[in-house]
Amino acid sequence: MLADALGQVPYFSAREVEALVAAWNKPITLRRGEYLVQHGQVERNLYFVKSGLLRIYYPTETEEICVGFAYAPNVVCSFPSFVHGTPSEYCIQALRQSELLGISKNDFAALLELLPNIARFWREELEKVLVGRIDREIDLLLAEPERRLERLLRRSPHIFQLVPKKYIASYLRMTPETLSRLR
Amino acid sequence: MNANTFLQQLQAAVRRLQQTTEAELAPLSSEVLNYKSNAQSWSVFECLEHLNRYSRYYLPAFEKAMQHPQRSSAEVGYSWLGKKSLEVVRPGNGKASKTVKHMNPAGSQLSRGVLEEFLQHQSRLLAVLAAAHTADLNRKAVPVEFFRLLKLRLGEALEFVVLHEERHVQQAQRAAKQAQAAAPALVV
Repeated sequence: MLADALGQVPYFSAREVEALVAAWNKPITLRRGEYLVQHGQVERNLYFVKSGLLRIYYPTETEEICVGFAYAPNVVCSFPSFVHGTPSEYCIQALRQSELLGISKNDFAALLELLPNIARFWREELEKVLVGRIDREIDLLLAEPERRLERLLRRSPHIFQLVPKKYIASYLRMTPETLSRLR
Repeated sequence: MNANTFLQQLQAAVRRLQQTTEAELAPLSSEVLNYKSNAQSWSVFECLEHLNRYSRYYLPAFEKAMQHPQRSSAEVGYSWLGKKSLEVVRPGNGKASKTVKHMNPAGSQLSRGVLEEFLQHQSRLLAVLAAAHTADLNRKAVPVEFFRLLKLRLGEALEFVVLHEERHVQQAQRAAKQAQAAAPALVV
């Protein structure tokens, strides 16, 4: 599954795929409701999602604010914690039974040094994430809920097939009732 | 439509197809170009091979049809069959049509040669379109591939081939996009 997904990266040769598959080998199974990353935990791994669905959220006293979702074939981590080695402010929780594979930050960093195509892949993913975050920032600055929804529909039409509505509503900063009315 | 404008539009369309193929499809890996989202849908290679099979028949047929150049009337006209054929292949027409068996490449072993052949056909098609400026576009001169007793007018047959290519290159772009969507994506 990981090898298939990596094989879809146009410039990866068998060498990059083999190196990544060999090191990306810590299997994790989460049942619905279990946590991949808890608030306060330090993130030392990068995870490939083989199956299932996870939400990334920011816990506050009154609500859990959804900031993102992960499903196959995504690569996911609590990014600030992964980069800085500080305790995670975010939680990553399985919304369905989920199977993942982990690779440690050290092993991944070693591969980035060793194989330029893996470094290229990482850079391109970071670029896409940054563009996605800029889009998301605009979403959040729009006062009208229908425009936030419209932009999400354009960007990720498949998300409504994957994620329960109440989490999408939280992601869009609107109540589930508003989302139902608009859909 | 005026014959010169008509041909210029077709030439511009073929150049766009060349550009799309070279810039968007050629750089992709063979895995992406062979990717099928399900057994029935075509990969990029299969879309292009389907077009190659049409080109292998129609390009020589066009060249033959232009062997006796005549001064063209200023306007391009359509036959009933021409209009019907164009309707079927027009890219905006979302209806799937059934492919005759010998034009269906599904399941054949395909490699980069398919892409190169496709680009060669486009250069040859551009030469045909350039030469067509002095030909009679309204002459019924091109036998239909699957039923050769029927003939299309040269102009409408040229338009048919170009629209058909646009249709399947768009399909190839969608197949490539789906293949890439299956690559891992970082979420933070």
